[in-house]
Amino acid sequence: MTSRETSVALGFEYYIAPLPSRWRRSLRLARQNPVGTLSLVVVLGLLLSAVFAGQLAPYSPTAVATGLRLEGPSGEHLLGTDQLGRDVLSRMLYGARVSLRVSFLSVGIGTLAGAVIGMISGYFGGWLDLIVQRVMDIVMSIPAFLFALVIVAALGTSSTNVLIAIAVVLIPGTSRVMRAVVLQVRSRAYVEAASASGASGMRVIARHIVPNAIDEMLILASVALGAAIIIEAALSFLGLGAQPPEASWGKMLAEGRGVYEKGPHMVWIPSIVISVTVLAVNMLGDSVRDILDPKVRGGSETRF
Amino acid sequence: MAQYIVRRLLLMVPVLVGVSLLVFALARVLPGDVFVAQSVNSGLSPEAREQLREEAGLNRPLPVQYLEWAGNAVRLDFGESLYNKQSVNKSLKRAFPITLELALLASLIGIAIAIPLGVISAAWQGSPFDYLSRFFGVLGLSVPNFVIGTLTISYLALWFHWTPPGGKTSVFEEPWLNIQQFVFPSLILGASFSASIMRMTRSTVLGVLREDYIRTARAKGLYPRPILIGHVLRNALLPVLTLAGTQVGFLLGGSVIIENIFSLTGIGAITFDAINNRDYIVIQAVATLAAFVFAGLNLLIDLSYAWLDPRIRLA
Amino acid sequence: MDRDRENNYWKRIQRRQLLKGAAVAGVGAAGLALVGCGDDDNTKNTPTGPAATATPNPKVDGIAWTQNEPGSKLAPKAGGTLKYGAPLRAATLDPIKSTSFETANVYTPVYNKLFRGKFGSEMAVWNPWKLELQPDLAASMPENPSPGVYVIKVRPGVKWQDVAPVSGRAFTADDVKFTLESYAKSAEFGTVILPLDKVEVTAPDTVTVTLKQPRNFLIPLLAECRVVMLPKEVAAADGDFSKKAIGTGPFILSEYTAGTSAAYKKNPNYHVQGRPYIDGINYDVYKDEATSRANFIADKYHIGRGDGLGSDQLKTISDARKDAVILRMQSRWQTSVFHTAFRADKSPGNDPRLVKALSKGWDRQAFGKLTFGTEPFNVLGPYPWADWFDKEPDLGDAYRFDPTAAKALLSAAGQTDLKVTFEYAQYSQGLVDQVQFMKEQLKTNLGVTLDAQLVDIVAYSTKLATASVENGAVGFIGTIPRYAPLSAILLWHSTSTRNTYKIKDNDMDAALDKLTTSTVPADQKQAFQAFWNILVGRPYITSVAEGPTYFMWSPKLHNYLPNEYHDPGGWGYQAFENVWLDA
Repeated sequence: MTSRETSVALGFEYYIAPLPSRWRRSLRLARQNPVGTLSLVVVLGLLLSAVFAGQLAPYSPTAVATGLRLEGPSGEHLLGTDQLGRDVLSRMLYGARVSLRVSFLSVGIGTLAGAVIGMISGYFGGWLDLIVQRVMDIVMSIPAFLFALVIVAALGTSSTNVLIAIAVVLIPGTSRVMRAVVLQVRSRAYVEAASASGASGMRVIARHIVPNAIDEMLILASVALGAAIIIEAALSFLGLGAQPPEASWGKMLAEGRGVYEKGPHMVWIPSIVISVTVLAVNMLGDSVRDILDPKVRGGSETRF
Repeated sequence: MAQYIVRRLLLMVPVLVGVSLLVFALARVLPGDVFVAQSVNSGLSPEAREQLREEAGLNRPLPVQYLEWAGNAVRLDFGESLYNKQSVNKSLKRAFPITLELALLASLIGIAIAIPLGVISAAWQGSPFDYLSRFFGVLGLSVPNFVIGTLTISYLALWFHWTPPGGKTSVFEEPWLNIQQFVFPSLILGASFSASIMRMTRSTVLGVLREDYIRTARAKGLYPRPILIGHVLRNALLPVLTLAGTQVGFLLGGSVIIENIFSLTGIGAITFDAINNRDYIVIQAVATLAAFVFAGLNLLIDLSYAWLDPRIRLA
Repeated sequence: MDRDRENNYWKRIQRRQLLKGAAVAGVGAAGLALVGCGDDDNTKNTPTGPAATATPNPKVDGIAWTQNEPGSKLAPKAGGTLKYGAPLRAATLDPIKSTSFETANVYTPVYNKLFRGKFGSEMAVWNPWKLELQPDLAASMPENPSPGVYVIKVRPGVKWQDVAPVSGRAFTADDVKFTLESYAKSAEFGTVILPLDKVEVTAPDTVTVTLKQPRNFLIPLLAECRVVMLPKEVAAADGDFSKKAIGTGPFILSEYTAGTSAAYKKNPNYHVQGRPYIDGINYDVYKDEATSRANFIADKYHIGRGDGLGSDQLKTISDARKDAVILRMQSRWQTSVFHTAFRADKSPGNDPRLVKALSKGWDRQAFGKLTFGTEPFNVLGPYPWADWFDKEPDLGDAYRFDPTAAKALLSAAGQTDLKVTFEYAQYSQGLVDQVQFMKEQLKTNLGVTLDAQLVDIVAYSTKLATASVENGAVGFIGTIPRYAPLSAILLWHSTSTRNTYKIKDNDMDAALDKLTTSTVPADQKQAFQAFWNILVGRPYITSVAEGPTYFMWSPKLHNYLPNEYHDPGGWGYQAFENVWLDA
């Protein structure tokens, strides 16, 4: 697996070196990595506020308040109100639920499915491998966002379908990386020896391949996460994602477009939240990669 | 070499067939059809709709529909839009210059920002400039282009009562209007585009700087700057080039949403409308073409690899 | 000073027009009064010119100039290209196959009709909701020798546009025969609204139209935006009118790209001498409310339009365009009705108590105040009524917000834990907001769970058009054709295939039958009242709160006064042959 293939596979823009690494050293590095730690805190904070949106939100996200149309931020409503007098902070908190659920689950499912497919394809090889890889070629040659758009249109607009679309889009890249890892590990002498001495396929996979692949998959997932959040927000922005009354960040931004004269906060609040979230996730992804990827580890990349 | 190109072109065929089949299948799964889309606001009577379906051949078996489409597509005839009865070739031809201009400007802007930034950042690794440009890199990756687009268009209207001109303008006939139309969308797309290229440039330059031959060159007394220009860039450009090539998909995806925000009527807008209108024929054409462009660019990249790095032999 | 002179002039004109206006028949009496309402001085091919321009005063209820009431200039100027944003998604240009306003938007400037409603600026007292008939391609108003038989004379000297394959030949009685027969062949027109028995060309310039049964709405139908005169050459060449629009009208369609733009140039051989004044029209595609508003502010369009603007949005526009004319039409721009309804043949729609409770359980006034701020808004009622009632009718008990009464109705029906489903589409953010508001209020006020499913606009309109709504819907009823009795019979008569909510009500059928066949104006009026009473009393469909429609235009545009009977979809595309531009 070359870096070129990886970045092609993902359709994103990262340079990923494929060698595995050890955890213990990485943890020490994490302590030396304040930016990564900060991003981790931000991401965890976002996750927690999404999980506990019900407890944290000062108002119901759907409760309308007549007479409070598009009020700017105030003590009563920290982030102001929207066109129906709903509390924007509460909606952003519930929106985090939608955005993060969709992006984390889609990345999880996409990575897992890609990994399984790649593992099967790489381990068994032969015609199965050939067919699977050609199918992946096909999927990968359609621009990811366009493909997600068509899938969502085909399945119908809902946040669950956006989740499926993002997961599907992630599969080919992940499966490629996984396949490469499998091939690499299989060719190592000790694995060949284990196979030759009669270890079962499952055993080889569990003992030798999975541990080697976990780092790769983590790197891929952390890199894909930012993209998943962006795709989710973009699809919602275009009206293809979460449907009302479900709040979603992209949707809120789209709504803000129509009321920016009176309620500019309706534009900039979702803008900032989406950007900061993706920023934190990307920097976390960078750190994860730095920690797990020995090739970059020596460099200053870890200190960002 | 020629043999290699022919082989690669032949390998593209099954992929393109696969893409068109996949999109064909997906498009037919879309609920409703184009003639239903036309009856928005009680436009078409059910009889007229059925008649149109019949005329358009949508009542025939799916394999027949696919084969007929593919047969024409091979001859580069993408048929007639189900929705507006216009030749798909014609509407693509009309829309293509817009997206091309957007993509070209965005890539130029992107590369013009990214490569110097990435190289300088790597050369002065750890300097404040390095940190700043790396922050820019992460920021560019993290702020989605539709967010900047929305902010831009809202605040331009709010503060300056200005909106970019709509409709189709020509660079040659109405250059000023054309600039007004493209300046913001291409800056925004270019900035997102530059982020990833910059990061890639920086990390590959760093990688090359650690290579033995650079050390040798420095040991021989060459100053850092000539080394950079003469040796490093040439070697570092390869992966950057690859990345730029693979970003065509990114540009196309970006153009769907940026064209939507800035009311440009390019391929992105056509695609979005086609999906909304269930215009199977157009969706198939766009997806197949996108796949073709993608595969073609990959081929070009591989060829340029060989050209830039004589050690790589194509077989 | 110039202004004073104008004003005096307008007052004089106005008096003259008012006197003449006495001869103009209202729509309610259209069926009967046709013979009497011919404006003979209009049969000559001369422009009525600026002299026919009505002043915006005296005002009809519901119209307000919120900024810069327009003055008019004495002399119309030739030249200039009008720019406007328009929904240009129309896939086919065929007026017979598609009655969509988006199709009509595109072809309206190209064609003429046999009769037409007067343009806003031609009316003695401008009323955007009034249909005042006058001949267009007919030479005069028709004779009606016996019920269901109409003798129509064709205006001499009219030529088709000089575009192949029609190439500028003369318009004849044969064209009328061809057109009417073509329309009658379509199931939608033929069975219900144009039951044609035969069309005979009895003289080179005369056709006699015989209907299978008397219909009192034939002439308003022939003045409908969608019943335009079509050339047989196009049908012969293309099979239908979906690709080319060639008419006798003031503008030639020079370029149309669905979803992008449309361009028209002036028809040099237009049968009204000197018209149109402007050289052409350019339509840009209308993307969304915000973009269109921004484009008007940036002076890219001569005309801007907005539905349901809140006070804050309106303020932005007037701050940025202090020079613009802004017209607010507070009510009854009734090209459409936003409604909520449930199927009458199953629960909850089959129980009038439940439907009433659902309507009474949420506060339309509160929503209106929230959304529109200090701008006025309306609850229009379930159907266009402007031609039938002089003032806003009482919408009845179902529209009175009263959670206690609504709860009582629910428990009377034994449904204290009601769950209802309906579908809606994103016609506008405002409508989506309103549905969220309704949902929230019904939950808190009545404990009713409203499962409002936002569906794709395509899926939604199919369901509505094919009468296959599952349970209920919130959205737009296209009141097409524009003339209310015609669309009412299509939508609510038990025999109609477009009866979306499966209303089967003998009283309603009887009222609609009487409304569309009676030739006595008083009986028609009574029938409309009966129909109205059923629609609000039962209540099969209820309306939601709607903001006013705004038209705003550049001070460079003159003589532009919208009238809905000349407009395909409430967009104010009309009488562009009548407007002129300053350079």
